[in-house]
Amino acid sequence: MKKIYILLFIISFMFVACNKDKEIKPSGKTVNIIILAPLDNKNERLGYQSLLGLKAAKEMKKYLKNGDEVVFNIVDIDKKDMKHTLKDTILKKKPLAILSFMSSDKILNMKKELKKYRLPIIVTLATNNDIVDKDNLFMQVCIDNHKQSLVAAHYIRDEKFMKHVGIVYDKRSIYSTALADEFKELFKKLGGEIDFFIDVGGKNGLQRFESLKKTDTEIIFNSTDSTMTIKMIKLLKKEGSHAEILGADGLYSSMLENNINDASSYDGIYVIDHFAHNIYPNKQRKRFEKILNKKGFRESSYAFLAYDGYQLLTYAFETCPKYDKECINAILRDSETIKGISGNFNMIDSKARREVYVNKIKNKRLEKEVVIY
Amino acid sequence: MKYISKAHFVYDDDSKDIVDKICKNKFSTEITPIHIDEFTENIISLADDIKHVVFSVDGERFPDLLAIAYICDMSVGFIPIPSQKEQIKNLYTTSNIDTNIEIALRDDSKLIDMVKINDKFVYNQGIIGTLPFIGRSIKKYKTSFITSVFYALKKFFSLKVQKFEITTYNGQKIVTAGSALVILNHTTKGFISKLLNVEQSMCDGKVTAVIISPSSVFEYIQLLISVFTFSNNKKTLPKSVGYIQSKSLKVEASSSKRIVFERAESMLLPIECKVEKDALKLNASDEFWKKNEDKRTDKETIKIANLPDKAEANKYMSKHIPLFKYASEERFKDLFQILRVDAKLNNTFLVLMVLSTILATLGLFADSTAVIIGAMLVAPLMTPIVSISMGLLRGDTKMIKDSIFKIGIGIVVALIASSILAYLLPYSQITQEMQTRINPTLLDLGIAILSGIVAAYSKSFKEIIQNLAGVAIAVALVPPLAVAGIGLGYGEAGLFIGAFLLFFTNLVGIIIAAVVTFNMLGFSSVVKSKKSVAFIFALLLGISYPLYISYDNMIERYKISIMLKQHRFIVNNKYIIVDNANIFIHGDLKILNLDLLVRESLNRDDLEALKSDIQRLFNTKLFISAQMEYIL
Repeated sequence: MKKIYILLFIISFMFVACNKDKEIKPSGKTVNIIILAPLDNKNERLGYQSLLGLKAAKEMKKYLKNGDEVVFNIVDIDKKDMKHTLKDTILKKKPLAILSFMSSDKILNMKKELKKYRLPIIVTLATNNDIVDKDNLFMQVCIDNHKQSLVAAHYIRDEKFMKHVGIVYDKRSIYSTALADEFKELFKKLGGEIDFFIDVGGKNGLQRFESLKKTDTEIIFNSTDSTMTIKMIKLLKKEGSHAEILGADGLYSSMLENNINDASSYDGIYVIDHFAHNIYPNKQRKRFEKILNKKGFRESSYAFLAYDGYQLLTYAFETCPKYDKECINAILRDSETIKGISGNFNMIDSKARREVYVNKIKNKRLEKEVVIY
Repeated sequence: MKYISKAHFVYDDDSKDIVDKICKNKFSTEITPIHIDEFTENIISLADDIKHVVFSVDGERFPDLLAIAYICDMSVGFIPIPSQKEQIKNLYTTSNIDTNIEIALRDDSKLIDMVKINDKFVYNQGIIGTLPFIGRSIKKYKTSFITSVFYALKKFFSLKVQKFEITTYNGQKIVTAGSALVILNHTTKGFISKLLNVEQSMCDGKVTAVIISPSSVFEYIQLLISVFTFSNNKKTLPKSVGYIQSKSLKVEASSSKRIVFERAESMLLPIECKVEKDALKLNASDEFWKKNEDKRTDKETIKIANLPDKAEANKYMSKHIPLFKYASEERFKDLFQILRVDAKLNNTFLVLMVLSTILATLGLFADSTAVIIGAMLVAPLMTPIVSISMGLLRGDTKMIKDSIFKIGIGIVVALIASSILAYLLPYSQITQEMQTRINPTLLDLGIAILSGIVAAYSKSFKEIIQNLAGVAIAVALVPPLAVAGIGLGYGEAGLFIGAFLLFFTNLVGIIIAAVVTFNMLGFSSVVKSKKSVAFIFALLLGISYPLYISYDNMIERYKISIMLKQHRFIVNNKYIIVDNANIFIHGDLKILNLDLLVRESLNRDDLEALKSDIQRLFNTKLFISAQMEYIL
């Protein structure tokens, strides 16, 4: 019997060994890319967590199939001489692409400047619809505002069967305003009724929100950040309102960044995001999280999207062996299915076609309600 | 009550605190205290006029001390201190020092017998062989507790049986086998004494040899439980225990070279054990004398019904005890006879096989679970499966060959019947019932294994109705076989391979589970057949790859179903909810069945877009079918 066990063990070992990926031998050559990341105190988390994700992604895939290594040249966009540094690095390193961890507002401000370099720019976090344009230089790995609004509107109308919605936004943020506008239009098209559409940012924003009648409102679509949201949650509780809240994609990450001590107050609100905690993780996500957890990572979509951005870039580099710029650009715009960290995605017309999660926040975690494709 | 006028008091380091107390005793006994080391080294200097000695020492030193008392013709008393619980139990006394002093100084000693092994007194017990966890208490090993437990466990799983030859005073020669033989003297409250169903006495004029002969490690565990959980005086002897009581015993062992006593002292074998009658005068409690009445008879007691006889002892010799026990051919003669008959091919089997296959095939086409269950009840495959399992376990080549032939013919007949039927019938669809039989799940394998256990178990006990309907349903091999036949009839290799693989995996799962069950129930033979082991291994090897593949498929299918159930699609601004999803693998093709909920009707473009969206989620090509329901 012992012999049988030993043989069975050998057989199972062989199965495992056969399934192991072959190791790639380094060629000694390098491929440069530029990383644009906000690294000052205010946006530290956004840039820092994205960089962590990127480094973990590289740890999982050190070399391209031909053995070449992708080298990151990090430029802190919050530095005063950022423009000068970027120009110098591009001239010196001759990068093949730019990977951006900037928010929508920042990118829109810098768009003109970035276009000058004629390099493909992979955007991981900025969801504004206007980022991708006819110049075909910008590619969005994350979902855009249109998709997000579509998901939110359909979820409310066709999944929760709600008709009356209130919309709150922060006029100071281009992202928030554009998203709220988009949602408003789409929700109306689906036969929904808008009870209120107000700017809650600025000086009297909360007072405006407090003065509203919300008796018929079933759910509030909220494109503001977590600091604004917690104030509204407290007000709604005070009023005894039963209106639910559906937040936009940055809300959870913003909560972890700015309002972690108030996290329990967010329990029960819906948020749209690129991932959920309670999905069965595939092998690569398990490995990815293992690497990140060693470095004090707190799960947010920043690191996940950085991983997906790196996957897209390496896929393009591997598909175009001579690193032909036209070829790379074409692949980045329209790709085959790529294995992302929280689901497969592919690029169509410079935008990612990917799964969007509608989650509920519970104990600082995102619990999946539905996945919308 | 009269008390001794003069006495030695022998103490050790643990009992020196009571020296003062005994010296100031209220019975006017003049005490000469003496440390144990001095006592054993200077026997000559002991006062001649003192004829009583009181011991308050660790029990391990008793053999030497009692030998001195015997030589010097002294009566003996004991004062156990509270920590010496074993002594307190053996002397039927309490932990109260005053009471024990009173008893020890009484002038009413009585005579007890002592056992001599090769002319040396033994107080406790001597062991030949191995008795893990009983033989010597773990604390006695001069290593750390963990090392001791490890050492005992190692011995436990390498228990061996050896042959013992015992000759009694009356000249009766007994040959048996066991893992250990224990010579008992004055331990009526010891672990070994607990196993015996007779009252022992220190005045019975007999030496007792206890033979422990577990037929399996499992039985030894039962013995341990019995020793550690139950009290003395059982009505019956445990299954694996026998004993011999005689005035003298000569003992020889086939493997062991020595008998081992407390403090790791030992003596070379063979040994001769004798009882020295009235060897020692002892002061003890009234309770002790009640339990140790004079029971001297010339009659020898030999209780060896539970032990292997001479012929079996020769077979067992120097073998490791198996995890589960062996069964002799004689013990289960009737069952083996039935199984041999079951293994043979007969007309009834063929007719039932054809009928059940036809029934199953029709049920599969009609997509009727009830008809398929009917076919399972009629199917006669269970009997040769049980026979082959027993044959493999016992290395019965004929039973194995007959069973394989019977099962093989059964398979061929079933395939022919179902393929002809599939060819003739004007149907060509793959029904839901067929689909479930070409896509095994982990549950199917679990059912197969459990079926094997139930089949073997029900066959082993007469009380269970042999043709249990539940077992027949559980051992559901005919339906997948019928599906394989339908595959042949259609000329579809994928259908045939998928279903036949499920059938074969289930068949092997059932056989191996039945072999293990029979083994656990003690039907294994003493000599294991190498061919059987090789055959089981070949079977395991045969199913390991398909199992690995099907396991992978099962997990993938499960994950896909769960994942898709929470999926929604927005296609051309239309929201589509996945209510239910099932994926079936049919050869290279993956068939995805979806139940969808929608609010608007879907046109051709919507369906195309939906299809491509679903397809994007997977790495392989899918054949998608969907049913729509509208949400109002």
